[in-house]
Amino acid sequence: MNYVKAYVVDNIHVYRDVYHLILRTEIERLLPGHFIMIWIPEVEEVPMAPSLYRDGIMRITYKVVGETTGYMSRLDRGEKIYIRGPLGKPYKLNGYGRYLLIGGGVGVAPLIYSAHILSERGVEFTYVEGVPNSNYEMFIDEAISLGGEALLYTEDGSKGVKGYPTEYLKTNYRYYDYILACGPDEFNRAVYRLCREYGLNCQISFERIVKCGVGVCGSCVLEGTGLLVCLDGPVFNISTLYEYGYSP
Amino acid sequence: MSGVSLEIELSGIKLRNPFILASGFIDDDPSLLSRAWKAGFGALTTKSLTPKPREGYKPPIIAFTKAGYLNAVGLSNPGVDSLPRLLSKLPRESKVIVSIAGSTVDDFRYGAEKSNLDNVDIIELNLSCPHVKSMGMDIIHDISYSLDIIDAVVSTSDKPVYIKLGLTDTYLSLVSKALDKGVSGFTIMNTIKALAIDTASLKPILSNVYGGLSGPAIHPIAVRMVYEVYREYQVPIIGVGGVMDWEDVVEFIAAGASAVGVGSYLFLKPVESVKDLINDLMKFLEDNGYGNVVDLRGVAHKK
Repeated sequence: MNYVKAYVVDNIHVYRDVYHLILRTEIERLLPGHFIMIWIPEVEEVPMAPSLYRDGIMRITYKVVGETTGYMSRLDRGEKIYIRGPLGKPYKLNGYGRYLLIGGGVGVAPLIYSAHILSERGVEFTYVEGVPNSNYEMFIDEAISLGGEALLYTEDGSKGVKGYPTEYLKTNYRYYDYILACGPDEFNRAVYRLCREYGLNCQISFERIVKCGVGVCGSCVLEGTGLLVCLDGPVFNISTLYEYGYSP
Repeated sequence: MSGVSLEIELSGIKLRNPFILASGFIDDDPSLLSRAWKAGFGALTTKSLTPKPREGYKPPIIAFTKAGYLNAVGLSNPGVDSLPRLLSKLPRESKVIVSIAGSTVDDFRYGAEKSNLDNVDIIELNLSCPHVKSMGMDIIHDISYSLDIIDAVVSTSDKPVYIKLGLTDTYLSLVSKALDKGVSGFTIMNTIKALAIDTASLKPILSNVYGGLSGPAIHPIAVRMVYEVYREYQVPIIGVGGVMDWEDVVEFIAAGASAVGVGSYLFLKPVESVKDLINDLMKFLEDNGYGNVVDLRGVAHKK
């Protein structure tokens, strides 16, 4: 699996330490939930799940957390980086039913990409985003523009509903056929527990340190399960998680 | 299934089949080892464990080439003290080979002491990692240093000790001397130091620049070494290197290997895919009139 060139079209500052890196590239069909490895020679290679990919334009929504993402934030238009992928298992999206897309932080990236696909297929969806406060709002407007219902939850109540998006799941799960989730571990664990309890069809995407990306180094193991985020995931149906002994 | 037996023995240890998870592959977490055992392996090798935990190199740690794969993981491991935890999810009947690495005689002695656990069956000394300075090929190129390490480990441990060989010109001489020191068997072979340059960026791909080449490219070299060691000494051998299908497995065993390590085969495949190798070997034995896999061992040497 060789690297493919990706040219920086734009590097948009969203808020604080979050950016959209817009890349022009040509890789195989990349679906919501798939991830790629972004390689910056002499810096590092890091995994990213794009928040959109179409017509050769890829959007990577990322948070600056270390050296490599810091380097990414300083990339200028026209600069070149290298990517390999798509890797992993994406969300399985149907052309029917009602979807709830629920997530938090920059983890919502593959969810908004899912919203684009569902919108194209004419599938009804609700997009629920959880953030610390109104400054962190990410894709609410985009979800609305795609024809979906969109709700913002803020921890401090500065905008939208005060609280966590799992509150929405608790009170509204009956309206949905499919749940797509993606967020920090604590959030994912809560979603797993609730969806098991309610018997919902739910797919959750997990984030781990991916090093090889091809299922051999073991760095991305989902603790206690023997499941590899890079090969068996990053998107798991909760029935698979249960089968492998995931115990949140 | 048929009446063909895949059972083998390695230094008195019974394995349900000759397939061994090679060191360095999904083997540094209790749940991964447990899953690999359930997948059907005859034995599991741990990641090479050092006295202290090691971070390893930054990604990229893997590169793909036409003839195989390069890796430079950097001997990342949770440290040999974590061994009881690492093996905690394995059932009693599982078979475990602990791989030990280090940069001094004392490192290896410490590793051997810590491997003296009931559920450890064999100790494998990784004297041949090609991409970490002072912890690999520089050891095996120095035969007297290698023998000091072997002495220290054999005198510390009651477990059978295997040496993981790398490609050197002098490996047969090391094998002979190691056997005199009480070594029980050999794992043949480690990856070979190599380099891959990406043609898009024109840079070395691996963060460490150099890595160890595995996969189809090294298989015939490994078969040669297995063949030569078996021809001279008829000792237990685990053939590792570029096993990608049943033909590679059959070659190793016919060359003299008692067991076969599986590593690069698992790239982009779930660990359960070892079942295909197991079934294919079974079919080969059936189709060719072998009642058990042991009878295939070393047949390439028969006149």
